[in-house]
Amino acid sequence: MFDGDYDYLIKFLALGDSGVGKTSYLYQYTDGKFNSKFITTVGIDFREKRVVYRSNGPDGATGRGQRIHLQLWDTAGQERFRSLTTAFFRDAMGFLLLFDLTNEQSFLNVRNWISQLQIHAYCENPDIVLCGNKSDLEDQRVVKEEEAKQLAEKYGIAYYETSAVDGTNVSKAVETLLDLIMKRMERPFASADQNATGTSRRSVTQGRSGGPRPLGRRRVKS
Amino acid sequence: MQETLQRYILERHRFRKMSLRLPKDFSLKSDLGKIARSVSMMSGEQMAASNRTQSPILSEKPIKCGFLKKQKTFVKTWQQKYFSLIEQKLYYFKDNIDNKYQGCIVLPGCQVKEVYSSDDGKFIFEVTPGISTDQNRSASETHVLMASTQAEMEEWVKAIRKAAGVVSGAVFGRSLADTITYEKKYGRHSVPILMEKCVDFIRENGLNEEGIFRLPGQDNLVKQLREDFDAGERPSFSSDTDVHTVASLFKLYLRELPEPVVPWCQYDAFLGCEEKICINEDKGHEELIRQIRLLPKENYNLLCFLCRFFFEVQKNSIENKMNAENLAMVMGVNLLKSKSEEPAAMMQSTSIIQKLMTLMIIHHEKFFPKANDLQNEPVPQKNLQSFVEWEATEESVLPGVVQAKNVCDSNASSTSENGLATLEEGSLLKDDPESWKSIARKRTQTMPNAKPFVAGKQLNNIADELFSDDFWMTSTPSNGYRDSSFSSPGHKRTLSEDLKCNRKSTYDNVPCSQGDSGKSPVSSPTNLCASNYGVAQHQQQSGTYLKNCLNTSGLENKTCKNSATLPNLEDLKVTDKKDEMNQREECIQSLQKENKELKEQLEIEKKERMDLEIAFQNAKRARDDAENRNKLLQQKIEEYARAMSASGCRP
Repeated sequence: MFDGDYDYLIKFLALGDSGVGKTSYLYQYTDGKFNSKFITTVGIDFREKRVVYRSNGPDGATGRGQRIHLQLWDTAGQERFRSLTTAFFRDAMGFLLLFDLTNEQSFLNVRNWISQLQIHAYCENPDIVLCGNKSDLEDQRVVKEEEAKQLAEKYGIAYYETSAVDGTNVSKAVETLLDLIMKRMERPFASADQNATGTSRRSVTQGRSGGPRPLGRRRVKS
Repeated sequence: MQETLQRYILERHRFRKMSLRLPKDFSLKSDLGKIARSVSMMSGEQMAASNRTQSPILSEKPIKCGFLKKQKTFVKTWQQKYFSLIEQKLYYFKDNIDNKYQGCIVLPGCQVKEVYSSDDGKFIFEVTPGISTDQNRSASETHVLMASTQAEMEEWVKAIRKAAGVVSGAVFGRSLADTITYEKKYGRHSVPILMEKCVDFIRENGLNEEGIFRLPGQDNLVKQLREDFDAGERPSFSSDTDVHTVASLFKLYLRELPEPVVPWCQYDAFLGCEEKICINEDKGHEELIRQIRLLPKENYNLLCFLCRFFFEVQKNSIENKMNAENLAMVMGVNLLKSKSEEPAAMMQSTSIIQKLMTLMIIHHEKFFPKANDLQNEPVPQKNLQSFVEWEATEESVLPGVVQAKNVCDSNASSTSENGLATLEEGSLLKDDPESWKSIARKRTQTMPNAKPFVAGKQLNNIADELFSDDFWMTSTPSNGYRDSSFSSPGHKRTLSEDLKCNRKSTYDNVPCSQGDSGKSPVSSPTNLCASNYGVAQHQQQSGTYLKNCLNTSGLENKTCKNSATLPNLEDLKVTDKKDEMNQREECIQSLQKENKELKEQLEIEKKERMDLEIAFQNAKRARDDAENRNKLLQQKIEEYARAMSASGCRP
């Protein structure tokens, strides 16, 4: 479907409690459709999408857009699959943390998910975008926008209210995350992120020279 | 005065320790006074022992020590104290220099509870003496302590619980057979009380809840409920408890079982049923029924109970959106688990598990017929002698001792159960109509008559029998799971494709514009993931098999060719010779193949033999242990009887 010709292979991972709409969210993002079926994800799945990224950096020089191959990993929220899904955390570069605006538990569990990320992701402060999903169900909403914003602020992460049904903010949240990742990569080897940056750069050449290669093993101890 | 009181308490504990095997009708309360008095007339050695504990010169190495904050009783302020946990007492000091202790909490029988504070920086836990002592007021008050970090608190709670004899995992993490036996004292229960309570609650409040059993509850609340159950409180859920929290607790219990509801030894056989069902539905069902019958009694009862309940749940699927497939998806993986947590294996088995589970839920009447219920009733108690004696005094006794013994008992009996179960398999294979009945009975024997090793050997044979039909069509049973990707040799498929074949994909029911993305060999991330996550290793394992497959098919091709060319050769007059040669070649090839097969079989059997030998050694050790303990306790009882009669003589 896709040719191997792109500049960056970026891996995102969607996580959050079971039933918050991770699969639907990603389906909406990649295909622009909504599937109302209520099916649990088996372990882990993925979707892909090609985008063009134009950095709007301070120099204003956008130049040629970067061709990005996005790999969106969809994890199962089921507890039984925790060990499996957390194993995938360390291979993702950015995280879409979803909760359900109509389900308070899923919001309360956001804290746990973040601490899980801090343990299992490639670094202690990975790029996360918090998404309050199911914003179309306004009448059933139990989590106030203000509460969610406060929580996001506390962790210093972006927050969007999204809807996989009508597509509100779905692309916006992913784009924000992509922007964060690209910015992080452009940072000239900031000491803390050296590992992540280093490997990503290497992958660029791999991407150009043919088939994509896994970006795994970002835990390389230097 | 204080001193005598303290001594009194100590002596009481001493006595409780000894009353382990008191008769059932023995009333501890009324006789306590007598015991306490009699203790002063006991042998000098014991007196010396009690004297030593009375004056806690801190020569013993503390189990754990460190600073904690303690809340004052009347003015609720916090005061920093130095705590030292020595044997079964928690002493506290003004600081870590002063060696004169300010207070001492006698731990045995104490309840330890974490208190959830809304304040982030406070990690509070309580130590409450379990048995209220009327004579000693200070002993019944709750001690509220605070640690500075979550981890520190957890460590303290764990250590204190251990010292208090409250083994964490009194319900969670305990084996099913153990729990059932333990809970006999609360009346007849064919499944753990926790399961019953959860199911009752969900039946009452959650049947129409959207995503019941799929959506998780609140982690902290689940944790707290778990602790309550472990502390033996058997809480009832208040009506405002979130059903999803109860459902999460329910799932947690199943996951925490030391051995899943479908035991490790039957896991492969269960998964094998799915394939058989694909080939021949009726035969597959039969096989599944047979496997279900082979389950230990407790496991059968629980699985039956769950499937019947899930059937109820899925009846409301219009409201709760949880149809049988969905329920099977979220629950199956908690009931059927492989020993390995290897990601690829886990994902591949998941779809198979889902199918089996769906079947068991929908056709629960077929797989768990009501007729079996009666035969499965708890057996008369005389078969359970060794447990009965324990039940009588368990509650009042130092729980640590009891639990240690219980664990020991269960080790011995569970191994014996396994041994028996496997032996039984042999008889079942003959389709003896009576065998079901006899299993239910025999399984409850307490000590193994049959050596597990012998039983294991038979298991091997049975496994061979079971798999002989399609032994080489699928991966070997020891591989842990079936791997359909290798059943079509030569055709390389990605993991996601395999999974999509096996399972109802999340995206299957939607027009899939990217359906073929997985096929692109270059950009298949699942392949990438596979190489990242030790699938390589698995592929190596199955690699041998693949090679075999290729070899076999190659051979077949050759033979085909040979037979096809034969007629032409007839014209030439060398047919006979060629024929002979062909035959010989074939013969050699088939012999080589057989040889290879046998070699591999030998390897597998060798490995299994090793495993079983180890298991046998373990069982033996456990049995010896149990016997020793029994002897020890018998001695204690005799001592106690002597003491009793001595006190009786001198009123």
